[in-house]
Amino acid sequence: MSRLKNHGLTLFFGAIFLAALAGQAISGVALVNREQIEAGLTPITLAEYVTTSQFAVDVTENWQSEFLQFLLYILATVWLLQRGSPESKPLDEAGRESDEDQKVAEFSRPDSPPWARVRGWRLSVYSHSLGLVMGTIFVLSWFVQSLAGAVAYSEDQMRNFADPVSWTQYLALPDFWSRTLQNWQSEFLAVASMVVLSIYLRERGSPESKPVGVSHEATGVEG
Amino acid sequence: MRTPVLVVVAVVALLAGCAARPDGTDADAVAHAFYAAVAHEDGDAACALLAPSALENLESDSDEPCAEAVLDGDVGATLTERVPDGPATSVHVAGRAAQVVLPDDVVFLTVDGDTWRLTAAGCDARPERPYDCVIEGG
Repeated sequence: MSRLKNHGLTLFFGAIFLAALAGQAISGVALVNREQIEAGLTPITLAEYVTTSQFAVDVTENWQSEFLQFLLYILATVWLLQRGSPESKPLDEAGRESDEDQKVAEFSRPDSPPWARVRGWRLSVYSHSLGLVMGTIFVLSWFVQSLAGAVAYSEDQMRNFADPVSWTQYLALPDFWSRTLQNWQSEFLAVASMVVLSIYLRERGSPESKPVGVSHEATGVEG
Repeated sequence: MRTPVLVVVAVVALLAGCAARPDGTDADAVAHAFYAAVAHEDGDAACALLAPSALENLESDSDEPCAEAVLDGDVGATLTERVPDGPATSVHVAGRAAQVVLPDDVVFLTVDGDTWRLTAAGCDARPERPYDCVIEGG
């Protein structure tokens, strides 16, 4: 039970991610099969559907925007501040901060991660490892979105008796940018809302909120 | 060891899904088979290769059974003119749709079960618009 308690946040979000992905696949194949039956064609299986470009583009267009959102949030909050927001660092700590503040190299502690203890390429890589991994997942997801999107778009074109498009043609088409930007705008709105609303509003006990009684002016204080 | 087993099962299931899907060579073969049936005036064989919506539209537009409609009138004349005298110049497959460009025609196909069926034939290109086809599924 203590393992469940210690990893509850990861387990909860991992479980609802898988449930939502399964729900997306099941509702997606139901939608396709409705169209298949209406056209007098044989329905497809769930296993077939999850290998389609349609499913891949729908999944990855959302993934890329989520990872972009967190990548930008991770990087922007290094330098950009917001007075009164628990999402911001204190107003005098903008930037990469000192080695002492970051507890690296000679300022490391016995329990510091091994790559944080010694100067060199390992420290440089580890100092940006979160952004690098989030950025890599963003780029890969966006790339897969573009590949799968080109195939799904071509499939749609041919169903409507029009010519298919190449990947490079697809990159210049409104479909690619509409799918991309409709996801980006919602992520950026959510982040901006979180930064601003958390100045004035509270959720008791949440580390994403300031303590209920803390001033609206207090910056970089988490509950 | 449970996770690797699950992964293997999932991958096999996905590959099984892929393996059942007909490919571009099959689409090319169905397009040529359709025109071979037209050339041999075998309306039943030609209609067996049409998607249900294409067959229904052809019958309702012509007020004839498909096997006759596909060989009669403008449709029959257009298709007979376009019987290919060589291999396809290109075959595009995307998901469950395909386009086969023949020497004198462009046809469109969709996957139905484990085979391709024609959704459109006798198609002419139009600038900035879809092809105009003598047989068209809805």
